[in-house]
Amino acid sequence: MVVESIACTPVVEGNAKGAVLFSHKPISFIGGVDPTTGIIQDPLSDQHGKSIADKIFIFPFGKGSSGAGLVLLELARVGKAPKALITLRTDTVLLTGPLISREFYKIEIPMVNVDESGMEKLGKASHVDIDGNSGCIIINATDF
Amino acid sequence: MKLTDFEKAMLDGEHGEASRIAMRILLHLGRIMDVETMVSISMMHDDSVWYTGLAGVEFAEHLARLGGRFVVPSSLNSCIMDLEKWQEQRFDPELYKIHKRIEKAHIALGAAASWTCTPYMAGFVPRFGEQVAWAESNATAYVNSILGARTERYAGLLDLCAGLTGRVPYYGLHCKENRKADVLIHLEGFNEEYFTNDAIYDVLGYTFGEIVGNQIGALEGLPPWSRIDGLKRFSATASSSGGVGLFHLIGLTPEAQTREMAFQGNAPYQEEVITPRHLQEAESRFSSEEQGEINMVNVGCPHLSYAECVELYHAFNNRKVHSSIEFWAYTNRCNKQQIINNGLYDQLARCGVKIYTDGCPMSTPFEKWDLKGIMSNAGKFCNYCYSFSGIHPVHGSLQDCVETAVSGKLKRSKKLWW
Repeated sequence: MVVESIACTPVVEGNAKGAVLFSHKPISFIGGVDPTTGIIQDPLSDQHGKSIADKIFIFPFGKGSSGAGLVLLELARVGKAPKALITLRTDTVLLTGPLISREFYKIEIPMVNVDESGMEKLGKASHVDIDGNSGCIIINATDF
Repeated sequence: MKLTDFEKAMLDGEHGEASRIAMRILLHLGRIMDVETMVSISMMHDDSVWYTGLAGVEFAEHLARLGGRFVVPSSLNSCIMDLEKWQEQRFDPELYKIHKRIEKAHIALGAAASWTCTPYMAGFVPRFGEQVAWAESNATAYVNSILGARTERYAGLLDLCAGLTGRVPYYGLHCKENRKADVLIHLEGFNEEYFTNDAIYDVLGYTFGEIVGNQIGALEGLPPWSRIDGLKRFSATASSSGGVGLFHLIGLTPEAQTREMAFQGNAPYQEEVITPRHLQEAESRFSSEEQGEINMVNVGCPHLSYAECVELYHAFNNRKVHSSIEFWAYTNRCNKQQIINNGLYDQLARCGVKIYTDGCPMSTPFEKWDLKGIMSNAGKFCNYCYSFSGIHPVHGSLQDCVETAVSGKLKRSKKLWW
């Protein structure tokens, strides 16, 4: 595997490293992710059946209902939250989960944005190391 | 961010711990979104009553325990069940107990027990240009587009923060310059007769949402006599098929009396055309084409208005729901009282219609009803039902739904766009 570094824009501060779950399609959290397990249950998702729990969850952007915050907060409560979120762009609905879990459960879900070329590179990543302070993501470093 | 002294005092906890927490969250949001100031809001619509797990319940209870109070008039969105008739709907008693906790916390925070996705048809009606914080996608799209008030698409939980502080970051759809249309959509090949069938508004909404995604679209060509209930279902369905928080209907909606107004004097960034053929294709994506058995008909997504209740009564014309069919109709508590007052409620009940409030067709306990097939007049419900239940509903007009219910067999009148 090639170790590579790409730039990212920190959205919700924090660092994280771990295994990646990469969704090519936008994600609808309400109805699309089981809030008790973190498993993607949307039959139309390319990661149907996989869990976002404890993963660096990478997807282009959120879609659908405005309940994404409730689902992410519930995942934080039951210990099934993703370690971090990497997206192309962010929106209020998506941000709600990390903002409130940080304030209420003291659980950090860092979030960063990358550009299209960064997203393409991340598509080949198995592990990443996100440095939210310097705004950089290291892909496939071997020291996990 | 530049905060006023009042906002700084909230942040310092001078107005209580709940508003301090809420302000911290909103400030964090504002910083992320690179917003300079907060804006005062005058109403809040609370969608945090939608149960997805105990986290949302605990957060509301925590804020209530800290003495938090909404500082602006606040309405509750629909929850999962009818809070009176939940047993008839076959909901689990444990889930009902959780709903009593939800009710207690949100009422303690100061919300009205409106329990509806149509607060705009239950006395919560902002004026043109008013800054509000509304959550729930249909409510948000309606209040922005049809009424011309201004809200971002708030998520459940953030709405509570807005209610507790009366503030939100001044960004997104709160700002006039962000409300201009990007995409101009023309209707081609339609005449007025198409719009006499109420199902067209759902199908058109679905098509519109797919085209615009999360851009702002302006649709030209709807007849000026289009009724508010059709626009309501257009709005709900468009926000389910796309990320629509605001749309313009040229000649109908307040910020788009003319094309120039909709685009705030700019040229459209993109132009598209919708033809009857597009509607046929779109309908085949969100409605099942199967001719199988139907044993549930669900109407009231969003909740039926008073006018739609009357329409439902006329469609039945004193005929009865077939014994093989469950016919569920959702409305809000205000409309229910109206139809009780004039006897319509009893007449519909005699036809076999089960009228529910508070809940949502989407959260029907599908697994408890041995469902073979579902029919609905609501594009939004048909679109979402598949991911909630694995059942692909059949879409039809309100009259189609009633004919199916009366005969016990699927009936769909031929639509002009087929």
